[in-house]
Amino acid sequence: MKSAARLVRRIVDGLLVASLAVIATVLCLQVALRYGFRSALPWPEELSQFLLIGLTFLGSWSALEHGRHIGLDLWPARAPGALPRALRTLSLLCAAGFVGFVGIGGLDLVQSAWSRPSTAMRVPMGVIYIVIPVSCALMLVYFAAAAWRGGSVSTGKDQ
Amino acid sequence: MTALLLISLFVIFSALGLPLAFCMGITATAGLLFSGFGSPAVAAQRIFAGMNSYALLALPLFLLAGNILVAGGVINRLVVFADLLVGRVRGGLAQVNVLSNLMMAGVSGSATADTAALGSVMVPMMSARGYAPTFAAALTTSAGIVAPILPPSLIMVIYAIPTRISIGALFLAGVVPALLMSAAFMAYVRYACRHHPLSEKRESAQGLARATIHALPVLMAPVLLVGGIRGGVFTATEAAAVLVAYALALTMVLHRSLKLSELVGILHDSALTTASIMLMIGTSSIFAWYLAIEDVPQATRALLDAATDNRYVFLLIVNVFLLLVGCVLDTVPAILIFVPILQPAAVAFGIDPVHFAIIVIVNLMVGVNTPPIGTNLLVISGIAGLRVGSVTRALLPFYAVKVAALMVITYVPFISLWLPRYLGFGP
Repeated sequence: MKSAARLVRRIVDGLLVASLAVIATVLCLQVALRYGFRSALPWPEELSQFLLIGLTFLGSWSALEHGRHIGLDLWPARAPGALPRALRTLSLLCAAGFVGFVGIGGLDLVQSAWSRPSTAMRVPMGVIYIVIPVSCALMLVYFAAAAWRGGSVSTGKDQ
Repeated sequence: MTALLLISLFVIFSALGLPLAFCMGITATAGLLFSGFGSPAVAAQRIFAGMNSYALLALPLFLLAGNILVAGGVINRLVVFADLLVGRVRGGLAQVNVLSNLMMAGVSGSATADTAALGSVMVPMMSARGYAPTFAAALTTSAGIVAPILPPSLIMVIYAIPTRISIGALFLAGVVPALLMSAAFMAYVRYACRHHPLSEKRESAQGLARATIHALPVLMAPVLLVGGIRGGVFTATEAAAVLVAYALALTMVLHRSLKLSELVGILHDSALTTASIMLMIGTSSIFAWYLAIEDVPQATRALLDAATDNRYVFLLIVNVFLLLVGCVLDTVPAILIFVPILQPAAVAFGIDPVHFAIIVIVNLMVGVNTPPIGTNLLVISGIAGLRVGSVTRALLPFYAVKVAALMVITYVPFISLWLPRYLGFGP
């Protein structure tokens, strides 16, 4: 179980680094082709946009794990009393419900767009949408586990 | 009733520390379900569509370029150069601080990154030359707020998405206000350090030439960038990609101050920051849709219309409101939540949208240094090892300088609009 979680983390980390590297590379390539050789490629923009969305969904899970999301925390986690604790658990359950809701929507999108090709690369949109249910499932597990432990989400270690 | 319930839900959840991206998502989805609009597929589609934008690609790229330059030690070169330019006057090192912040702002789009990087260099340096550490920290974080006002600016890229304002126009509009703010800080430093002893050391002309050559590649970047965007050579996204390539060439090839292994860490770090900002942009697009269904922008406009018919009073109300918002909310969520509501009202009052954008951004940048939630205030206190309270006390005169600059920028549209108009953007 532990090693499986570690493997998922490593894969996601690798995907995040690779996505950003590819975005930067293909867009630089596109600039060079457009202004150097006057022949732009049709796909770099679309590829980069899809990679950015994939990076955002997977990275949102990773950012939860690293405490890198932007948040307030005016009411510190150490605040004693049953009410803050109950409300905190409620907030985590609502967040789990929200990512579950979006994840189901993502599955719907995968199914309905399975054979619809994208504009430039002609990749089935269903394949692109897969990142939504996968990331939402990861975030769902995170929020459910946090609610179970009675913990909270740490935020704001960095903007 | 529902709206009230949802607002309290949002406030309680965010106060408890649930990330704002999720707070917005929960509130908007619940609201849509109550009004019978929400379906899972629509929610997922909205988030996807809200992030599927070519212009938004500038965000991770500007972020990455800034992080590469900071990790590559570009800051030290800028500080040496600034020291040679203004280090010999009274309060010289404090002036160096302001100038270094301004030069760094020209290649970096995030005040937080700049504050962290410059703070770790400038605060120990200023303390060693007899400045109060709290003053050094307060000055660094204050002077750092020009980063998102001077292009390139992550905040402006984000602002341009829902409002459909040209990123190029926003970039140009920020130049003069950023220079004005830096000048205001320099004037204040001159006053505050008037009893500070003069530094004796004099540099040779040779030293000056060498430092200039070292700093020149960094100083050239913003000129190329703005020139390229303005001349129609690049889009903002392409300019960001070019800046990444430029930053890599500078740090890895020319200076050899960055190793390939460090680059992986920088990519990972930039990806996480990107994800946290982009998710907010995604969920805020459901949020904005919900607000539109509930007619919140129109209601706000009607409310403000009833309150005043004078645009100067309107601007004052907006400024006070946003200063309060800035005390508790970070810049990005504040823009994503309130700009779709306030922007139509501002246009109805006859305010230029580009000028309004600059007002909002400058205003919220005052908030990054105010407790309880001032990101940069927390960052600089952490780096300098000082208590937030004592840095805040040292910041008090700086707040006055910033609010004065904000008022000038608010009531003199010419400052923001002159450059974009001169270069052919807008009417």
